[in-house]
Amino acid sequence: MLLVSAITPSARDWVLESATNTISSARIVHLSRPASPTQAREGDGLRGFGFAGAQFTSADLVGGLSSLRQVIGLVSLWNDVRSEHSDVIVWCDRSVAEIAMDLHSLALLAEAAGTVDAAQNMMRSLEGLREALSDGQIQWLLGCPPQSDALEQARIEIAAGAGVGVPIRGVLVAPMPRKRDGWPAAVRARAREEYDALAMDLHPVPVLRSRSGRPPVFDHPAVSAAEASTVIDARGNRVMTVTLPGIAACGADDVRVGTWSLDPAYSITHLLIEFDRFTVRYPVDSVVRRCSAVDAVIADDTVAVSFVPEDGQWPDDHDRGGER
Amino acid sequence: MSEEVDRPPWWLSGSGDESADGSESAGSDSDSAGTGFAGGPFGGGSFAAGDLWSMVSMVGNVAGEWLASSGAREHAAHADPLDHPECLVCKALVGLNSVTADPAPAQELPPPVWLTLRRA
Repeated sequence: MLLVSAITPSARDWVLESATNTISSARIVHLSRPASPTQAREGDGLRGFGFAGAQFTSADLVGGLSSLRQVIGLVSLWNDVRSEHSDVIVWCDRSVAEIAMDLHSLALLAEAAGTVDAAQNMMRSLEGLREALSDGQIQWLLGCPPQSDALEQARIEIAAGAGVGVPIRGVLVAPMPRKRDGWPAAVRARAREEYDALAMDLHPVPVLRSRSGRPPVFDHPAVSAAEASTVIDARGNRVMTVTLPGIAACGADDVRVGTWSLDPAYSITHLLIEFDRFTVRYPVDSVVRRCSAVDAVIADDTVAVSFVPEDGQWPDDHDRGGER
Repeated sequence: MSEEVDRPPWWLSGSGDESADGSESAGSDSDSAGTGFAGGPFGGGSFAAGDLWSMVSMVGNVAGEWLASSGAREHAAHADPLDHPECLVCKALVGLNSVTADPAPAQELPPPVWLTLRRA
Protein backbone atom coordinates (compact mmCIF):
# COMPACT_ATOMS: atom_id res chain seq x y z
CA MET A 1 0.00 0.00 0.00
CA LEU A 2 1.38 3.39 -0.97
CA LEU A 3 0.11 6.43 0.89
CA VAL A 4 0.33 9.55 -1.22
CA SER A 5 0.02 13.14 -0.07
CA ALA A 6 1.05 16.58 -1.26
CA ILE A 7 2.06 19.79 0.45
CA THR A 8 0.03 21.90 -1.98
CA PRO A 9 -2.86 21.11 -4.36
CA SER A 10 -0.60 21.93 -7.32
CA ALA A 11 1.54 18.86 -6.61
CA ARG A 12 -1.40 16.48 -6.21
CA ASP A 13 -1.79 15.31 -9.81
CA TRP A 14 1.96 15.03 -10.24
CA VAL A 15 2.54 12.86 -7.22
CA LEU A 16 -0.47 10.68 -8.01
CA GLU A 17 0.82 10.15 -11.55
CA SER A 18 4.24 9.36 -10.18
CA ALA A 19 2.69 6.84 -7.78
CA THR A 20 0.76 5.23 -10.62
CA ASN A 21 3.95 5.00 -12.68
CA THR A 22 5.71 3.44 -9.71
CA ILE A 23 3.03 0.82 -8.97
CA SER A 24 1.21 0.40 -12.27
CA SER A 25 -1.10 -2.38 -11.06
CA ALA A 26 -2.50 -0.39 -8.15
CA ARG A 27 -5.88 1.25 -8.01
CA ILE A 28 -6.26 4.70 -6.47
CA VAL A 29 -8.45 5.10 -3.40
CA HIS A 30 -9.34 8.29 -1.54
CA LEU A 31 -8.83 7.82 2.18
CA SER A 32 -11.84 9.93 3.11
CA ARG A 33 -14.14 7.92 0.87
CA PRO A 34 -14.87 4.21 1.27
CA ALA A 35 -13.71 2.20 -1.74
CA SER A 36 -16.40 -0.46 -1.57
CA PRO A 37 -19.71 -1.15 0.15
CA THR A 38 -17.88 -3.70 2.30
CA GLN A 39 -15.40 -1.12 3.39
CA ALA A 40 -18.20 1.35 4.07
CA ARG A 41 -19.87 -1.20 6.34
CA GLU A 42 -16.63 -2.02 8.08
CA GLY A 43 -16.00 1.69 8.45
CA ASP A 44 -19.36 2.12 10.13
CA GLY A 45 -18.60 -0.70 12.53
CA LEU A 46 -15.15 0.55 13.24
CA ARG A 47 -16.47 4.04 13.72
CA GLY A 48 -18.48 2.66 16.61
CA PHE A 49 -15.42 1.12 18.15
CA GLY A 50 -13.55 4.36 17.61
CA PHE A 51 -16.05 6.36 19.56
CA ALA A 52 -16.17 3.73 22.25
CA GLY A 53 -12.41 3.89 22.48
CA ALA A 54 -12.50 7.66 22.78
CA GLN A 55 -13.98 7.43 26.26
CA PHE A 56 -10.54 6.50 27.56
CA THR A 57 -8.87 9.43 25.95
CA SER A 58 -8.34 13.01 26.75
CA ALA A 59 -10.31 15.85 25.27
CA ASP A 60 -7.80 16.48 22.52
CA LEU A 61 -8.53 13.11 20.95
CA VAL A 62 -12.26 13.57 21.22
CA GLY A 63 -11.72 16.86 19.43
CA GLY A 64 -9.85 15.06 16.67
CA LEU A 65 -12.63 12.76 15.55
CA SER A 66 -12.03 13.43 11.87
CA SER A 67 -8.49 12.25 12.38
CA LEU A 68 -9.79 9.21 14.19
CA ARG A 69 -12.04 8.41 11.25
CA GLN A 70 -9.08 8.55 8.89
CA VAL A 71 -7.09 6.18 11.06
CA ILE A 72 -10.06 3.85 11.17
CA GLY A 73 -10.51 4.23 7.40
CA LEU A 74 -6.89 3.23 6.96
CA VAL A 75 -7.34 0.18 9.19
CA SER A 76 -10.31 -0.82 7.08
CA LEU A 77 -8.45 -0.24 3.81
CA TRP A 78 -5.50 -2.27 5.01
CA ASN A 79 -7.82 -5.14 5.91
CA ASP A 80 -9.24 -4.98 2.38
CA VAL A 81 -5.79 -4.94 0.81
CA ARG A 82 -4.69 -7.93 2.86
CA SER A 83 -7.74 -9.98 1.98
CA GLU A 84 -7.63 -9.10 -1.74
CA HIS A 85 -3.82 -9.34 -2.05
CA SER A 86 -3.96 -6.21 -4.18
CA ASP A 87 -1.93 -3.01 -4.42
CA VAL A 88 -3.58 0.25 -3.54
CA ILE A 89 -2.48 3.84 -3.85
CA VAL A 90 -4.21 5.78 -1.09
CA TRP A 91 -4.60 9.49 -1.64
CA CYS A 92 -4.52 11.29 1.71
CA ASP A 93 -5.67 14.88 1.68
CA ARG A 94 -4.09 15.32 5.08
CA SER A 95 -0.57 14.89 6.40
CA VAL A 96 0.40 11.22 6.40
CA ALA A 97 2.72 11.91 9.33
CA GLU A 98 -0.24 13.22 11.33
CA ILE A 99 -2.32 10.16 10.50
CA ALA A 100 0.53 7.85 11.54
CA MET A 101 1.00 9.79 14.77
CA ASP A 102 -2.68 9.56 15.55
CA LEU A 103 -2.50 5.83 14.93
CA HIS A 104 0.34 5.45 17.42
CA SER A 105 -1.29 7.80 19.92
CA LEU A 106 -4.48 5.81 19.76
CA ALA A 107 -2.56 2.59 20.30
CA LEU A 108 -0.75 4.12 23.28
CA LEU A 109 -4.00 5.32 24.81
CA ALA A 110 -5.50 1.88 24.32
CA GLU A 111 -2.44 0.41 26.00
CA ALA A 112 -2.85 2.82 28.90
CA ALA A 113 -6.48 1.76 29.25
CA GLY A 114 -5.17 -1.70 30.10
CA THR A 115 -7.43 -4.71 30.04
CA VAL A 116 -10.71 -2.96 29.34
CA ASP A 117 -12.44 -4.88 26.53
CA ALA A 118 -12.95 -1.88 24.26
CA ALA A 119 -9.27 -0.98 24.57
CA GLN A 120 -8.18 -4.52 23.84
CA ASN A 121 -10.38 -4.61 20.73
CA MET A 122 -8.96 -1.31 19.63
CA MET A 123 -5.40 -2.50 20.13
CA ARG A 124 -6.06 -5.61 18.07
CA SER A 125 -7.55 -3.54 15.25
CA LEU A 126 -4.61 -1.13 15.21
CA GLU A 127 -1.86 -3.71 15.59
CA GLY A 128 -2.04 -4.99 12.02
CA LEU A 129 -1.65 -1.50 10.63
CA ARG A 130 1.25 -0.70 12.96
CA GLU A 131 3.03 -3.88 11.94
CA ALA A 132 2.49 -3.10 8.26
CA LEU A 133 4.03 0.32 8.79
CA SER A 134 6.98 -1.03 10.71
CA ASP A 135 7.83 -3.76 8.21
CA GLY A 136 7.46 -1.56 5.12
CA GLN A 137 4.26 -2.97 3.65
CA ILE A 138 2.81 0.53 3.86
CA GLN A 139 4.95 3.32 2.42
CA TRP A 140 4.61 7.01 1.85
CA LEU A 141 5.22 9.21 -1.19
CA LEU A 142 5.09 12.98 -0.72
CA GLY A 143 4.68 15.60 -3.43
CA CYS A 144 5.86 19.17 -3.15
CA PRO A 145 6.35 22.10 -5.52
CA PRO A 146 9.81 23.75 -5.72
CA GLN A 147 8.75 26.70 -3.61
CA SER A 148 10.71 27.56 -0.50
CA ASP A 149 7.84 27.63 2.02
CA ALA A 150 6.43 24.38 0.68
CA LEU A 151 9.85 22.74 0.77
CA GLU A 152 10.33 23.82 4.38
CA GLN A 153 7.01 22.22 5.19
CA ALA A 154 8.06 19.07 3.31
CA ARG A 155 11.21 18.84 5.43
CA ILE A 156 9.18 19.04 8.62
CA GLU A 157 6.65 16.49 7.33
CA ILE A 158 9.42 14.08 6.44
CA ALA A 159 11.06 14.54 9.85
CA ALA A 160 7.73 13.76 11.48
CA GLY A 161 6.99 10.80 9.23
CA ALA A 162 10.46 9.38 9.76
CA GLY A 163 10.16 9.93 13.50
CA VAL A 164 6.94 8.03 13.72
CA GLY A 165 8.40 5.18 11.68
CA VAL A 166 6.68 5.56 8.32
CA PRO A 167 8.80 4.00 5.56
CA ILE A 168 9.30 6.78 3.01
CA ARG A 169 9.28 5.84 -0.66
CA GLY A 170 10.37 9.31 -1.63
CA VAL A 171 9.66 12.97 -2.16
CA LEU A 172 8.65 14.29 -5.55
CA VAL A 173 9.46 17.89 -6.36
CA ALA A 174 7.05 18.95 -9.10
CA PRO A 175 6.11 20.71 -11.23
CA MET A 176 9.53 22.14 -12.05
CA PRO A 177 9.43 25.42 -14.02
CA ARG A 178 10.35 24.80 -17.65
CA LYS A 179 11.87 27.01 -20.32
CA ARG A 180 9.24 25.96 -22.84
CA ASP A 181 6.54 27.21 -20.47
CA GLY A 182 8.15 30.64 -20.45
CA TRP A 183 9.79 30.62 -17.02
CA PRO A 184 12.85 32.87 -16.75
CA ALA A 185 16.27 31.29 -16.26
CA ALA A 186 16.63 32.69 -12.73
CA VAL A 187 13.40 31.02 -11.58
CA ARG A 188 14.43 27.71 -13.13
CA ALA A 189 17.88 27.90 -11.56
CA ARG A 190 16.44 28.70 -8.13
CA ALA A 191 14.03 25.79 -8.36
CA ARG A 192 16.89 23.42 -9.16
CA GLU A 193 18.91 24.78 -6.23
CA GLU A 194 15.97 24.30 -3.90
CA TYR A 195 15.60 20.75 -5.15
CA ASP A 196 19.30 20.00 -4.65
CA ALA A 197 19.21 21.41 -1.11
CA LEU A 198 16.16 19.31 -0.26
CA ALA A 199 17.80 16.14 -1.58
CA MET A 200 20.85 16.90 0.57
CA ASP A 201 18.84 17.71 3.71
CA LEU A 202 16.59 14.69 3.53
CA HIS A 203 19.27 12.08 2.87
CA PRO A 204 18.74 9.05 2.85
CA VAL A 205 15.17 9.72 1.63
CA PRO A 206 15.02 9.52 -2.19
CA VAL A 207 14.15 12.96 -3.59
CA LEU A 208 13.35 13.18 -7.31
CA ARG A 209 11.99 15.93 -9.52
CA SER A 210 9.86 16.03 -12.63
CA ARG A 211 11.89 16.11 -15.84
CA SER A 212 10.67 17.26 -19.22
CA GLY A 213 7.20 17.66 -17.78
CA ARG A 214 6.96 14.03 -16.69
CA PRO A 215 6.80 12.68 -13.15
CA PRO A 216 9.50 10.13 -12.28
CA VAL A 217 9.22 6.53 -11.17
CA PHE A 218 10.32 5.86 -7.60
CA ASP A 219 12.02 2.54 -8.08
CA HIS A 220 14.20 2.89 -4.98
CA PRO A 221 13.15 0.91 -1.94
CA ALA A 222 11.47 2.85 0.85
CA VAL A 223 13.70 3.94 3.68
CA SER A 224 13.24 4.20 7.43
CA ALA A 225 15.01 7.50 7.66
CA ALA A 226 15.09 8.03 11.44
CA GLU A 227 17.91 6.68 13.54
CA ALA A 228 17.92 6.26 17.29
CA SER A 229 20.67 4.86 19.45
CA THR A 230 21.98 4.99 23.00
CA VAL A 231 25.67 5.35 23.77
CA ILE A 232 27.66 5.64 27.00
CA ASP A 233 29.68 8.82 27.33
CA ALA A 234 33.07 9.31 29.02
CA ARG A 235 31.42 9.83 32.44
CA GLY A 236 29.50 6.58 32.16
CA ASN A 237 26.13 8.28 31.58
CA ARG A 238 23.86 7.24 28.81
CA VAL A 239 23.22 9.55 25.86
CA MET A 240 20.31 8.83 23.57
CA THR A 241 20.55 10.31 20.09
CA VAL A 242 17.74 10.58 17.57
CA THR A 243 18.31 11.73 13.99
CA LEU A 244 15.31 12.97 12.06
CA PRO A 245 16.16 14.15 8.53
CA GLY A 246 14.54 17.52 7.97
CA ILE A 247 14.05 18.61 11.58
CA ALA A 248 16.74 21.26 11.12
CA ALA A 249 14.15 23.22 9.15
CA CYS A 250 12.46 24.03 12.47
CA GLY A 251 13.67 27.08 14.32
CA ALA A 252 15.46 26.68 17.66
CA ASP A 253 12.37 27.78 19.55
CA ASP A 254 10.09 25.45 17.63
CA VAL A 255 11.56 22.22 18.99
CA ARG A 256 10.92 20.85 22.47
CA VAL A 257 12.50 17.76 23.93
CA GLY A 258 11.21 15.97 26.98
CA THR A 259 10.54 12.69 28.69
CA TRP A 260 7.31 10.92 29.41
CA SER A 261 6.17 7.82 31.22
CA LEU A 262 3.43 5.43 30.25
CA ASP A 263 4.24 3.14 33.15
CA PRO A 264 3.88 4.41 36.75
CA ALA A 265 6.75 2.14 37.79
CA TYR A 266 9.23 4.26 35.84
CA SER A 267 9.79 7.97 35.58
CA ILE A 268 10.69 7.62 31.89
CA THR A 269 9.42 5.25 29.26
CA HIS A 270 9.58 7.51 26.20
CA LEU A 271 11.67 10.35 24.84
CA LEU A 272 9.50 13.06 23.31
CA ILE A 273 10.47 15.40 20.51
CA GLU A 274 7.88 18.03 19.73
CA PHE A 275 8.22 20.26 16.69
CA ASP A 276 5.82 22.24 14.60
CA ARG A 277 2.52 20.42 15.21
CA PHE A 278 4.09 17.00 15.59
CA THR A 279 5.16 14.92 18.56
CA VAL A 280 7.50 11.98 18.10
CA ARG A 281 7.86 9.40 20.88
CA TYR A 282 10.76 7.05 21.19
CA PRO A 283 10.70 4.22 23.72
CA VAL A 284 13.80 4.17 25.88
CA ASP A 285 15.70 1.03 26.81
CA SER A 286 15.41 -0.72 30.16
CA VAL A 287 18.49 1.02 31.62
CA VAL A 288 17.40 4.52 30.62
CA ARG A 289 14.01 3.83 32.22
CA ARG A 290 15.79 3.98 35.59
CA CYS A 291 17.51 7.28 34.82
CA SER A 292 16.66 10.98 34.75
CA ALA A 293 17.19 13.23 31.76
CA VAL A 294 19.55 16.08 32.56
CA ASP A 295 20.46 17.70 29.27
CA ALA A 296 19.22 18.01 25.70
CA VAL A 297 21.12 19.30 22.69
CA ILE A 298 20.09 19.67 19.05
CA ALA A 299 22.63 19.86 16.25
CA ASP A 300 21.40 19.86 12.65
CA ASP A 301 19.04 16.90 12.41
CA THR A 302 20.18 15.15 15.59
CA VAL A 303 18.79 15.46 19.09
CA ALA A 304 20.93 14.15 21.96
CA VAL A 305 19.62 13.67 25.50
CA SER A 306 21.87 12.79 28.45
CA PHE A 307 20.62 10.59 31.29
CA VAL A 308 21.99 10.02 34.79
CA PRO A 309 20.99 7.19 37.16
CA GLU A 310 17.99 8.06 39.29
CA ASP A 311 18.24 7.85 43.06
CA GLY A 312 16.45 4.88 44.51
CA GLN A 313 16.40 2.96 41.26
CA TRP A 314 19.89 1.52 41.68
CA PRO A 315 21.85 -0.19 44.48
CA ASP A 316 23.73 2.36 46.60
CA ASP A 317 27.52 2.33 46.98
CA HIS A 318 27.31 0.08 50.01
CA ASP A 319 25.50 -2.83 48.42
CA ARG A 320 26.29 -2.29 44.77
CA GLY A 321 27.50 -5.55 43.36
CA GLY A 322 27.09 -4.98 39.67
CA GLU A 323 27.54 -2.32 37.11
CA ARG A 324 24.95 0.33 36.43
CA MET B 1 -32.23 -54.16 0.25
CA SER B 2 -29.99 -52.98 3.01
CA GLU B 3 -30.63 -53.47 6.70
CA GLU B 4 -31.13 -49.69 7.08
CA VAL B 5 -34.24 -49.81 4.92
CA ASP B 6 -35.75 -52.85 6.65
CA ARG B 7 -35.42 -51.27 10.06
CA PRO B 8 -38.08 -48.81 11.26
CA PRO B 9 -36.83 -45.23 11.50
CA TRP B 10 -35.55 -44.05 14.87
CA TRP B 11 -38.55 -41.91 15.66
CA LEU B 12 -40.65 -45.11 15.67
CA SER B 13 -38.21 -46.86 17.94
CA GLY B 14 -40.93 -47.07 20.56
CA SER B 15 -42.82 -49.59 18.36
CA GLY B 16 -40.63 -52.33 19.74
CA ASP B 17 -38.14 -53.52 17.14
CA GLU B 18 -35.73 -55.44 19.34
CA SER B 19 -33.27 -55.85 16.52
CA ALA B 20 -32.35 -52.14 16.65
CA ASP B 21 -29.12 -51.25 18.42
CA GLY B 22 -28.94 -50.30 22.07
CA SER B 23 -29.39 -46.58 21.75
CA GLU B 24 -32.39 -46.86 19.49
CA SER B 25 -34.14 -49.42 21.60
CA ALA B 26 -33.53 -47.51 24.79
CA GLY B 27 -36.91 -45.83 24.65
CA SER B 28 -38.87 -48.85 23.57
CA ASP B 29 -41.37 -48.70 26.41
CA SER B 30 -44.77 -48.35 24.73
CA ASP B 31 -45.77 -45.57 27.20
CA SER B 32 -42.97 -43.40 26.04
CA ALA B 33 -43.28 -43.91 22.29
CA GLY B 34 -42.41 -40.67 20.53
CA THR B 35 -41.42 -38.90 23.74
CA GLY B 36 -38.38 -40.86 24.89
CA PHE B 37 -34.90 -39.31 24.75
CA ALA B 38 -33.35 -42.08 22.67
CA GLY B 39 -31.42 -40.33 19.94
CA GLY B 40 -31.88 -37.00 21.63
CA PRO B 41 -29.38 -34.97 23.63
CA PHE B 42 -29.37 -37.57 26.37
CA GLY B 43 -28.64 -40.24 23.72
CA GLY B 44 -28.81 -43.68 25.29
CA GLY B 45 -30.60 -42.42 28.41
CA SER B 46 -33.77 -43.98 29.71
CA PHE B 47 -35.82 -40.88 30.61
CA ALA B 48 -39.48 -41.11 29.82
CA ALA B 49 -42.27 -38.55 29.91
CA GLY B 50 -43.08 -39.39 33.51
CA ASP B 51 -39.46 -39.02 34.55
CA LEU B 52 -39.27 -35.67 32.81
CA TRP B 53 -42.38 -34.40 34.52
CA SER B 54 -41.11 -35.45 37.93
CA MET B 55 -37.79 -33.79 37.22
CA VAL B 56 -39.49 -30.51 36.26
CA SER B 57 -41.54 -30.70 39.44
CA MET B 58 -38.42 -31.27 41.47
CA VAL B 59 -36.68 -28.28 39.87
CA GLY B 60 -39.79 -26.22 40.54
CA ASN B 61 -39.75 -27.20 44.19
CA VAL B 62 -36.09 -26.39 44.56
CA ALA B 63 -36.63 -23.03 42.87
CA GLY B 64 -39.52 -22.32 45.17
CA GLU B 65 -37.44 -23.13 48.22
CA TRP B 66 -34.64 -20.89 46.97
CA LEU B 67 -37.13 -18.09 46.32
CA ALA B 68 -38.44 -18.40 49.84
CA SER B 69 -35.03 -18.53 51.46
CA SER B 70 -33.65 -15.68 49.37
CA GLY B 71 -36.26 -13.27 50.56
CA ALA B 72 -37.31 -12.50 47.00
CA ARG B 73 -40.93 -12.30 48.00
CA GLU B 74 -40.11 -9.77 50.68
CA HIS B 75 -38.02 -7.88 48.14
CA ALA B 76 -41.20 -6.95 46.22
CA ALA B 77 -41.85 -4.34 48.90
CA HIS B 78 -38.35 -2.80 48.75
CA ALA B 79 -38.39 0.52 46.90
CA ASP B 80 -34.72 1.43 47.20
CA PRO B 81 -32.18 -1.45 47.21
CA LEU B 82 -29.72 0.70 49.17
CA ASP B 83 -32.14 0.80 52.11
CA HIS B 84 -32.23 -3.01 52.43
CA PRO B 85 -28.70 -4.38 52.71
CA GLU B 86 -30.06 -7.52 54.44
CA CYS B 87 -32.08 -8.48 51.33
CA LEU B 88 -30.19 -10.80 48.98
CA VAL B 89 -31.88 -9.41 45.84
CA CYS B 90 -31.25 -5.80 46.87
CA LYS B 91 -27.64 -6.66 47.61
CA ALA B 92 -27.26 -8.23 44.14
CA LEU B 93 -28.87 -5.23 42.48
CA VAL B 94 -26.55 -2.81 44.26
CA GLY B 95 -23.54 -4.91 43.29
CA LEU B 96 -24.65 -5.13 39.67
CA ASN B 97 -25.24 -1.40 39.54
CA SER B 98 -21.78 -0.66 40.86
CA VAL B 99 -20.29 -2.81 38.10
CA THR B 100 -22.31 -1.47 35.20
CA ALA B 101 -23.29 2.09 36.04
CA ASP B 102 -19.89 3.74 35.77
CA PRO B 103 -17.53 3.25 32.84
CA ALA B 104 -14.11 1.85 33.56
CA PRO B 105 -12.05 4.45 35.39
CA ALA B 106 -9.97 6.39 32.92
CA GLN B 107 -6.24 6.28 33.50
CA GLU B 108 -4.75 9.72 33.46
CA LEU B 109 -1.67 9.89 31.32
CA PRO B 110 1.12 11.79 33.04
CA PRO B 111 2.24 15.08 31.53
CA PRO B 112 5.65 15.17 29.82
CA VAL B 113 8.68 16.69 31.50
CA TRP B 114 10.26 19.18 29.13
CA LEU B 115 14.00 19.80 29.11
CA THR B 116 15.94 22.92 28.35
CA LEU B 117 17.17 22.42 24.80
CA ARG B 118 20.52 23.78 23.75
CA ARG B 119 21.43 24.27 20.11
CA ALA B 120 24.98 23.17 19.34
